[in-house]
Amino acid sequence: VNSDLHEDLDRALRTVTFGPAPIEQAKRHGRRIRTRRRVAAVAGALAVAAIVAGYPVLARTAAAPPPPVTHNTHDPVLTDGPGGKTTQGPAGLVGTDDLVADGKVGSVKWQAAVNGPDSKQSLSGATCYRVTLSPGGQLPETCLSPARDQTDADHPVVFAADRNGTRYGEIGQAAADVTYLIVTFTDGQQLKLIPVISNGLRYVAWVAPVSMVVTSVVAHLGGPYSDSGQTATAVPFDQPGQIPVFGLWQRAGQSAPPRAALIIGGTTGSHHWQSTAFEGPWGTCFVTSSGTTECVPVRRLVTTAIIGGWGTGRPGPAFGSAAPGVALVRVTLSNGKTASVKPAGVGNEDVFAFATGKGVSPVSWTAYDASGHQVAAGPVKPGYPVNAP
Amino acid sequence: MSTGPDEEFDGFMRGRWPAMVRLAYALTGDTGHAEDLAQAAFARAYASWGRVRQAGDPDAYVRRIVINAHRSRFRKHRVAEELRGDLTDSLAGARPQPGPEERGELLDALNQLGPRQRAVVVLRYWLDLSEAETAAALNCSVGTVKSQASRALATLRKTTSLRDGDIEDIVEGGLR
Repeated sequence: VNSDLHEDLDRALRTVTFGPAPIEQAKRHGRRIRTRRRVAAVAGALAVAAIVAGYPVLARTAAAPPPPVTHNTHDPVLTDGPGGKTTQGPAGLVGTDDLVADGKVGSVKWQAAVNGPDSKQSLSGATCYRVTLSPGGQLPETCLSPARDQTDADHPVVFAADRNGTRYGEIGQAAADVTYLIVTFTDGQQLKLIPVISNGLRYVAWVAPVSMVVTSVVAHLGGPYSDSGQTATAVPFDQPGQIPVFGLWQRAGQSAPPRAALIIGGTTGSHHWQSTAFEGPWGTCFVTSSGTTECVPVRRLVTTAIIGGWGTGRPGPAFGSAAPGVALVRVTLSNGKTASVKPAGVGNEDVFAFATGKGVSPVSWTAYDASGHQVAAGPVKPGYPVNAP
Repeated sequence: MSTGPDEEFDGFMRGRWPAMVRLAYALTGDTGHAEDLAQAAFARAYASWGRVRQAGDPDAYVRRIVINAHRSRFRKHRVAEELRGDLTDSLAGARPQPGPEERGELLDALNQLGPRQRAVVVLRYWLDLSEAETAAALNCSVGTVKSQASRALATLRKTTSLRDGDIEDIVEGGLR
């Protein structure tokens, strides 16, 4: 009997028609995911889970003071785990029952658990995170490929997040030398996050209302139980109502890019489009009228590149960066048309944006200097080149 | 001549694209969303292609991403919001191509179901997952799968001219 419905569904679904497999688009998108992973900027959909200890309550009315920074000593507060469900191992606190964090947001309790690569919930080789709110149910679970690799060496923590309504969960995989993190919100509240090990990886995380903006995350470095006094700071790109996007980490002596914003917009036919570039300590982020947010976590955009903005299924502006000295970028689109754009300055960067139609993507670009001489050209590869100088 | 990882991915995506779009369509009821969902799933597979290949079942990997992505979507009500927000496009995209009446009727009936009921029907009766596997895929209990399947099939029985006896049997089987 089941096979009858199976066959009916099969026959019905075979009447659905669709275009050819967009292999190149998928690969470009895949490379972009890989690039984002490598540079630790996650601007899209992701997972959830968490770890919180020390200051498990996040409420607008209860600000907690930052913990004292210790030097080469065993900080007893770091032996606390979520719900007391941790044990001390040589590499740090080890979670039990897959639980890596718990806490409260106002009156809502939450727990974060990680499903290991071998669990039924996990994709092959991936780790899945789930955050349960009580009351409130679960935040969307997403499975990620193993996060940290050698290219993440400059990032003490690699973050991913997802939201459910007005709350979001942020999960981070921490490097071996991260002792703890201090997350500071604009209203002064702080969270102290201590990595907890699950399936051999160290996790930190939190749950917070999207209305609360993260000012900074400071990673105290040293070892699992004592810090050396060294820190690294990440200032996320965080707009009210949105999930924070983490990009650059600043170490001692490093200067962050200046804060600046630039709106580029226009009207194509009856369609108004807009792309806003935000430069700041996170790098450079582009927010478009078609709903795309994409961040490039580098200190300077020194290469001409068409970074992103297309392929969302909706017509939207694509955006990019121009190398110093580039006065005009001519972009060839997949429909055979060309778009000529003049870069504009935002902070230390020169950026541009141009409209694309639905299903239209940029194919190649040519850059010209002020005298009209071609200075560079290339195919469009989504994302900012990882190996750019 | 041996093929590299890129060529392997090309062949895999070319071969499995129809099945994944149909799965995504069955879950979303919209060809535009279906292609977006499938493309995103293949993109994620490509991003981790080395590991996916080693795991030996890339089909299951991509299928799982499609299901998870859809589940996240319907939890956030994004699909519904987007359908309401762009009704003309969505309806145009959601219409199956002309085909035998019965087939269009079944797809139309499927599209009448809520996201979870539709997902249960697709996973349970098209992908032939067990109740436990369906529950795990949708992150709900087996009891929920049973009740959702029962309601979904009852709706399908009311709104289609499919083999009534078969549907009745399935409802009983689903509740067993």
